[in-house]
Amino acid sequence: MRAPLDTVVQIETPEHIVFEHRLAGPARRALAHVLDLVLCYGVLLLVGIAILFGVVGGAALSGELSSLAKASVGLVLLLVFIVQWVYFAAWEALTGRTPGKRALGLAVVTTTGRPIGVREATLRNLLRAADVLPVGYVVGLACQLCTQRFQRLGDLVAGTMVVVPERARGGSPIVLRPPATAAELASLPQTVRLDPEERAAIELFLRRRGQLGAARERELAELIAPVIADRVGAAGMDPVRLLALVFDLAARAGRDEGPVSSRGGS
Amino acid sequence: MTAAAAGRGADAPGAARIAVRNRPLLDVFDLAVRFVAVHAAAYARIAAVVLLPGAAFTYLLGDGVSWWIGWPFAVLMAAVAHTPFTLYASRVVFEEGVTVKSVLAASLRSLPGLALARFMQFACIAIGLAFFVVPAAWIGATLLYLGEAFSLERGGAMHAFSRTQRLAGAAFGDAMLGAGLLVTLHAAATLLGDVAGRSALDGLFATTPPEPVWSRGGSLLATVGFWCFVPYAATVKFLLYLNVRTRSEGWDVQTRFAALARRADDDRGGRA
Repeated sequence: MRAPLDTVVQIETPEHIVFEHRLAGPARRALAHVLDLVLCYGVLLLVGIAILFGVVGGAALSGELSSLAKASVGLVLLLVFIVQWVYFAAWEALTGRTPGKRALGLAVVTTTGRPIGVREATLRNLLRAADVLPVGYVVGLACQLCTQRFQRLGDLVAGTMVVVPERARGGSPIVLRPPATAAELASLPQTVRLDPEERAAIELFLRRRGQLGAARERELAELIAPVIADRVGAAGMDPVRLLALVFDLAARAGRDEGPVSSRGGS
Repeated sequence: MTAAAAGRGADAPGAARIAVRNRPLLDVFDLAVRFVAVHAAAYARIAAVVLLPGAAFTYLLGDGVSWWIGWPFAVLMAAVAHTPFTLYASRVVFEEGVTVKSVLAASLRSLPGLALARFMQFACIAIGLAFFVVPAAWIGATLLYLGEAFSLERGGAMHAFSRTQRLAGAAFGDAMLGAGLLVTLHAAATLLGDVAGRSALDGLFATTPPEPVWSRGGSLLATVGFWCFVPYAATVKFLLYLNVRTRSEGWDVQTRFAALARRADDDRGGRA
């Protein structure tokens, strides 16, 4: 069966470690681009106004356009050039993201998941001129529709993609409330092992408790509780409580297997 | 479509054709791009039946009578034309062997009730507009999931109105931003259709492009741009609906638990 449709791409390192990256598609990238354009042309507008009032205005009062005023117009043209050709490449070469991408939490990386360098940043931004054709990034959009990693022409040539790097989350530990009673502990084995998928699914469920409603929580827990109950030999227990207890026991077992410094207090 | 119905889909929710999880708003817009690209062939067949007549009527009305009548007609018709795309997307996510024909037949059956619901929706938004933009935007966001609630939950127009309010209320920020983005993108697609189309006609085919949209308030190319956006808009709205239900009803948990339960069944079957 084909993998479910998603905006995630998996990258395997030479050491066969698989990383998942969440891709940024046309919507996020377009919004980031608009933010960059607003920033660039906003600054440009301010500079232009300052020049208009400060230099050209003064020259008009004195009745002649000084060489300083002409140089200022040249400066504006230079800024336009910088905005179009240097701004994106320079930011991405230096930090891997432009301010617009930073605002939306995006970053440009290579298709192997590494940070991009000057070569990649320059290439992908030079090809922007082709992506923008005939107008409004139609070529770039069509290209993103056809590629697995939402790559425009510039990305394909430079071997890059735009991702949403996962922020390191210090997820708060899930606390069993109320704590396990002696009777509950007696009805369960001392250690319970859950495979990574089970652990992730039950953790997701426990983190969502309180947002779903008691009836829905029970309905969901009943999908998996019989399987777990069979394995640990705990029949007749409330399914939601069973999942919470089993997860807690498995988490404790995991901590006890780790170094002493990582173990819980009691 | 209820959570239980999703769970009992032909292939069970663990086999949903998209990864069901609580997504940020813009991720939904991105996923919709991928969804449309993957199902482009089926969408094209639906579009040939639904969108071509809509575009033709819009152009004939706008060009022949007035674009002041053509565009409101297009907006109302496009809202109704969302239905087959919504139904196709919802079925293809949870079921095998979905045919365009069955989707079109189901859409046709729901047409009278849906047209009435859509008319009421636009009447509400028009009344909101009479009090300036903010009330209209609020009403538009509140009624964002009307089509999905009507088509997928099959409870009638009044049920759909109460459901869309509850669904939008569960994540009102997303509904408001989503509705705003969709309207903005639809307007942008309409303009882009005109500008890019004229540019292509002029540059690539060396023919004289038609008058731009701003000279008469509408054009054939703008009409094409407007109607081409409909499948994407319908997909975004369906995925937003799926997202809000995932958030409020734990469909992401359900798909994972169902997959684990099925795996356990398979293991037992293998051992037996």
